[in-house]
Amino acid sequence: MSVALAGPQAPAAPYPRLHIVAMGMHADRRRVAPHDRFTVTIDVVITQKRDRLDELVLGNFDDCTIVGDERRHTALPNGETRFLEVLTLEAGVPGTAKISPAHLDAIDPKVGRPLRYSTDPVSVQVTQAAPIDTTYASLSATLGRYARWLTVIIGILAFAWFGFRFALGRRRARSVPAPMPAPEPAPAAALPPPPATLALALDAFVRARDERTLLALRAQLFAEAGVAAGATLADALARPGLRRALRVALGAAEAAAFGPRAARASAGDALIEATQADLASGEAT
Amino acid sequence: MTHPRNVVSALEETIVGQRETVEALVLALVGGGHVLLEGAPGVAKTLACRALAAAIGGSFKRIQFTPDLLPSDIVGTRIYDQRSGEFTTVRGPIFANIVLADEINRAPAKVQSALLEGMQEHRATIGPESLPFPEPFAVLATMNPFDAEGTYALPFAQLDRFLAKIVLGHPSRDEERAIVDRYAAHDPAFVTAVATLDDVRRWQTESRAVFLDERIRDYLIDIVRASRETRDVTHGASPRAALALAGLARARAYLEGRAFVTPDDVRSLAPAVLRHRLAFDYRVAATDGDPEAIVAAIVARVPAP
Repeated sequence: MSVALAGPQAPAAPYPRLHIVAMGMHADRRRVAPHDRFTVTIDVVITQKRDRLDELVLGNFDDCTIVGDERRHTALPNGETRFLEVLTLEAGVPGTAKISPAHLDAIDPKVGRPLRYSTDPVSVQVTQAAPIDTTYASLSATLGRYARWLTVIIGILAFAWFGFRFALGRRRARSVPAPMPAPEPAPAAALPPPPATLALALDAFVRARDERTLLALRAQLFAEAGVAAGATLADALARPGLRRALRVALGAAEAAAFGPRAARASAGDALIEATQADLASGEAT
Repeated sequence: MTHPRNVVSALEETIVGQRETVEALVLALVGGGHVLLEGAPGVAKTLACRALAAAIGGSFKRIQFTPDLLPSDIVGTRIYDQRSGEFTTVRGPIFANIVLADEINRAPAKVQSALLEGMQEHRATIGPESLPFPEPFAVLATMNPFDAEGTYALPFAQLDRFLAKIVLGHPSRDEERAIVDRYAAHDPAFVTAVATLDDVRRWQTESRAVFLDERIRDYLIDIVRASRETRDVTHGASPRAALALAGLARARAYLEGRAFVTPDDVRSLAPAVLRHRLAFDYRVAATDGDPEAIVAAIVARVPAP
């Protein structure tokens, strides 16, 4: 999820006050044949209790056709509400079907300003060749093939092991490493967890304002600059082409993380403002 | 109100290049410590020290260390006055704000000890009197990496008393051209005082109040401890190194106008604090190993918070 200040062309009055916890979009398949159907799911979690999320704006589906749209919501145990919008799409001609980001304009109660929350875009390859089928329906068949091969291999290994034991005439039990069990298919979760992004890290810090979320936000800013954990601010600032807003945010993070305790509240405010400015630049993840 | 940055700027007007050296000298002054300078002859070691004293309006004394130097040549002595019938104290050149100990490794251990004792205590005993040095007080000692014949290597216990060791390289081609041009016609104007001794004392007090977060404290301790856990190092840095690194990091933050220390302060100064405090394994010298690279590797091995 990325966050930017909502554009001036959007009217200010209709913005709802929403606390967006997570927002993501993903497709159930990465490669399909022409005219195959696949689903794209948009997942939004907010802290408020709501029945509808009409403010969600879908992206463009120019390369495919919408054949189904299902909306549902779930009240989570912690009081949050999760909205799922499942779109069934039919692939068009061979190439790359691009689904542009969905977005949601809302006033974050913590910040008090309208922000635009966006998902990442999704791409699906439409190929003439037989696609690599990743649907759950074919998963059992694929696993069945693997299981047969695995059974043969285990059988050969077992035969060799017993022959070896017999030839040596050993009575002492030997510890033989058990063959690796066949990997269990992953549970068919409805949605993967949303990716860690700067916007999410900022949101977590705005809500908690504690050291853990502060350090997570600082780490995310370092990641945005392209440096690994264990690097310093100088390493990050030395990266070529670093955007100016990110430079400011990195400096603010240093003050918030290592500054005098009495000044950390104001340093945290400055960090939030600087990170929002960086997000508003539209280049952050 | 003056700031240490003014001193850096003043020194840079006189000394071409050597920016790191200039900053290190000012940092050591603000950190209240002494500096060991190592470099080939003619790379502005003496000029930098003299300019530093002039920039803060302090007294400057230079002691050329030679094999026949005596402790009394440094700290002073008592002379019998025949007319009054009493002993009078004559203070040695160590009683100055900035003392340049030129080629410190050319004097025997007894003389080095007299200087180093004064560095630690900020006072000298002459006869029955114990006399304090003027404050601020800083010893800037130079060592020539060449001409090792006839020198007395400083023991590690004495090297440990230096806050930092700065290695001066030769200037770049452009810098050398600027040096020739600047000194061709006439001697350039020397540094005038841009701060007072009271300013320096205030900087020293204020820099000690710079905030050092626990994670940064642990980071610098980890670096010092890593120096003891390196295969190529037989004796690592002492706890005094951790104190020196903390003090210098605070001074750097103060110089940059920050009220808190960052990991960059620690990481950038760690080599200067460690390089003279480590005893390297004989295999490093035997295989033409680079001690600087080992120090850099120690620092790089510890992840910053």
